[in-house]
Amino acid sequence: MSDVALGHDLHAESHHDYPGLSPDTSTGISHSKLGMWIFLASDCLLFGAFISAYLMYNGRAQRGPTPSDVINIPFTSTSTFVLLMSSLTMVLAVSAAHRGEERRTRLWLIATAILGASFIAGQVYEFTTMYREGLGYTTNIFGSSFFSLTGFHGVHVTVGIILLLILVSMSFRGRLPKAKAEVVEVIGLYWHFVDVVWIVIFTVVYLIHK
Amino acid sequence: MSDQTIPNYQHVADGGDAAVEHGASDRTYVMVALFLAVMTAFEVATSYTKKALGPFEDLVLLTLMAIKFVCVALYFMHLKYDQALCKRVFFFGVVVASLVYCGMLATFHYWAPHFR
Repeated sequence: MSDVALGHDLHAESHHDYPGLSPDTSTGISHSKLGMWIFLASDCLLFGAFISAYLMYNGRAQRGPTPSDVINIPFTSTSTFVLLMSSLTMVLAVSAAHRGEERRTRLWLIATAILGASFIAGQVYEFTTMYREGLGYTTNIFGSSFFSLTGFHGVHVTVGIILLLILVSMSFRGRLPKAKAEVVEVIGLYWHFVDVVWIVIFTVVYLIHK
Repeated sequence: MSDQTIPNYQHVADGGDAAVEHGASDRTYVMVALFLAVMTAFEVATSYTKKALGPFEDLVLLTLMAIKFVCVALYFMHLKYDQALCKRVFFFGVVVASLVYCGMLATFHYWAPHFR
């Protein structure tokens, strides 16, 4: 089948049969999905700023605890594992949504939200422990850059959890049929982005510069 | 429209299985997740073996990080199966951010031996 014929056949089919393909746009990608990709690309710059600021200021604290005093690698490794597994449950939710399995989609979305909430709970515990050990936001420049970076990531995860709960709510009301699988996919992209950003933070902040 | 643009739908257009697989199979996703978990374990183990690896520790950690990053982007974010434009947009952001902030760190002599 020629390229042109392939394109023609797909355009002739109903949009709802192939939710990932949008024949209504010149790129073949729906506006919401392309918009999310552009947002994620721009968010790379935002996180890049926080990570480079951390690298600049790490090791320059005049007083107060240093990373090696307060960072708990085994605990954060567990949190990292939890977030990685949440990416698995998210991709399984997207997969189920594209197959039109609404009940299974809901189940995986709830699992993802629970894993995300566990990660946030771990972050709250980590921050609290650090505070008790004498590292506050304004204690030194390490504290400021560390809390800004990881806290900003935590806000992203929290927003992701809220979006997941909205999807679960839509699913319970029967407003997440197969035709709307792309909504799950777009939120999934955001969730996976939060995961890839944590992959970088975990290595650069926790493992290399501890 | 090129085949590369819409690879995951080609088999449908060719009269293949009516049940569209969006991206990989669930089994593949589980395998990728297990691989990521093993990579993370390697990373943590590497961070505890500073003496053994010496100056290569950071290089090994950054390599493992890059492998994990690409795995999540390609499989979980479906960049391996989606339209090429998505891949270009996302990696453009990643590359621009990397270059901008590496340049910024170089401006402040971050890479110089006397920085710390």
